[in-house]
Amino acid sequence: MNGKTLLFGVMFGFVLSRIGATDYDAIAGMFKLTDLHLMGVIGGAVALLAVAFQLIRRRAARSLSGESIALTRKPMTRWLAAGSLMFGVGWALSGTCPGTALAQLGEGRWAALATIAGILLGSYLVDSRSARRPLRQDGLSEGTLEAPVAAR
Amino acid sequence: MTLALALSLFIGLSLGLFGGGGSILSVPTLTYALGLEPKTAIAASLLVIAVTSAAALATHLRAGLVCWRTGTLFGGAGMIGAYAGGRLASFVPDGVLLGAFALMMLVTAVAMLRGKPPNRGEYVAPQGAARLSRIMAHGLGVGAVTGMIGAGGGFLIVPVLVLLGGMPMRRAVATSLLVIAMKSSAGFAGYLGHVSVPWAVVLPITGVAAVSSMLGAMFAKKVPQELLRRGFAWLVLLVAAFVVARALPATVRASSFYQHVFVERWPWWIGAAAIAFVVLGLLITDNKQLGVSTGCAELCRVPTSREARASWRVRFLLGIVLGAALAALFAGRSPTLAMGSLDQIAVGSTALKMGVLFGGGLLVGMGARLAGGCTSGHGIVGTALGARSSWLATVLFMVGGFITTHLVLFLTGAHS
Repeated sequence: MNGKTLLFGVMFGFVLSRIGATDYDAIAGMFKLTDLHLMGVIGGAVALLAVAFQLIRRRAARSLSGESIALTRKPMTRWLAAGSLMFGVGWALSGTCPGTALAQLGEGRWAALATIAGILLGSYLVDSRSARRPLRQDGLSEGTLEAPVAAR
Repeated sequence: MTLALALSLFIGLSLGLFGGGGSILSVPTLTYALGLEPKTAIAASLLVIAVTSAAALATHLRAGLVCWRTGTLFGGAGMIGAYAGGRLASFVPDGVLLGAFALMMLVTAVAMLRGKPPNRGEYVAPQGAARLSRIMAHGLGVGAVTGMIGAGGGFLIVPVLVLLGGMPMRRAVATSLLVIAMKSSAGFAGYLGHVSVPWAVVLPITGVAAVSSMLGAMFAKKVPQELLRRGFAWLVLLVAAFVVARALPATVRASSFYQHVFVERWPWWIGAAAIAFVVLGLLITDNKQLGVSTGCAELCRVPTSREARASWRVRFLLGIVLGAALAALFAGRSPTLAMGSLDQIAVGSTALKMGVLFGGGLLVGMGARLAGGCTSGHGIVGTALGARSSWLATVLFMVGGFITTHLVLFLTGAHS
């Protein structure tokens, strides 16, 4: 039990709100290519993190708790392409991804309750189905088909 | 009024569960949700809390958790202090009152979060004149301060009993309720002379809060003490932030620093750095790889799985909600049902709007689980790791979104 993850969650929610990622029109603007702000945020974060991950990997860095940092690549799966397209359609319709939907709720945009209900039901449907009859060979979440990056 | 009644549910739960937090919640409820004057609200809140804590106390009594000697001494001294405080309040400006209130909550929360683990042994009520007079001194001091700012004082009593008195958390909660019930009645008596109470509003709120406090008290016996203490600290922090945000002077709010940090949208490069900071912070301090949709899947299992309840991801999701609430609070945004341009697309129909959001959410949830991640796990972390799966997923996220947005624009005839 620690409050650190909660605190990082608080920071993440604060940032999502401050960069306008919870704004329906900012997402719509991104897909209309009229407001590239969020594209810049994502692209910039990816660039910074790519450099940081390289450093962590090269130096086989350890976390503050002393464990070696395990960075895991997600596996390529049969349903990845179809699921991603589906996600994109939903992203445009609801104007949110899972994180920003929760942030919208926090901001007091009550309509986000409908979005969150949909997201939870959607994840539940896929997970309960694959628990009985696996959709893929590997595990459900972060798979380990590829070895952890830091271990190579 | 509906909002105020809903909030009074929480007032009762908090008092029953944490032995405090009643006035922290009831003063904002009465001032901001019902629009009462600060001093009227403070007086009314003392009444609500006196009745509510007595109800919760009755529930705790049967479990034998109340420490009578400490409680009555602390409470007796506190009543004198609170009466004096209530009288003095008419000489102190409202702004100073609210500021002092917020500052004290901040200090308390930090002390409770960093404090030593709760005493597991049996609590021995202090004996001897010196120790008894120390309890009375604590009581008098806490009473004067809390009576002045209109608090029952649980947010100070519980920490004083736990941190200075060495009492286990559960007993401190029960004892605090006794003290609160005594002190808030005395504080209310002090106010009664110079403030008139709007009974029609106060009575329903008192009723709802009293019933929910009994539920909270029953629940408190089942929750682990450590969790109770941490929960208490977080609750106090949250409401401190709320009070500070609302009490900020207009000059601070208008300053360019405040506007840039809290009101205007951050430039993209600052947003990028901030997101990278959170991802790296989580990774370096805790060895956790960010992924929101995996957390959502765990959230679905929370009712049935103990493992999911203890999950760090679920705590992270809770943090997102709180963090965004803070951001909205400091930006001065009020709750709304509006959802940007979707309101026009849905031609003003709330049902259609909610339907689109629900359907979109359903696709997001199913898609994220089928793809094994969402914008955070694939789009940001996965791509930065150079995973082929994540690059493919992210490109297809964008393609799906691009096609849908333009299709919607075309169908609604808004395409130029």
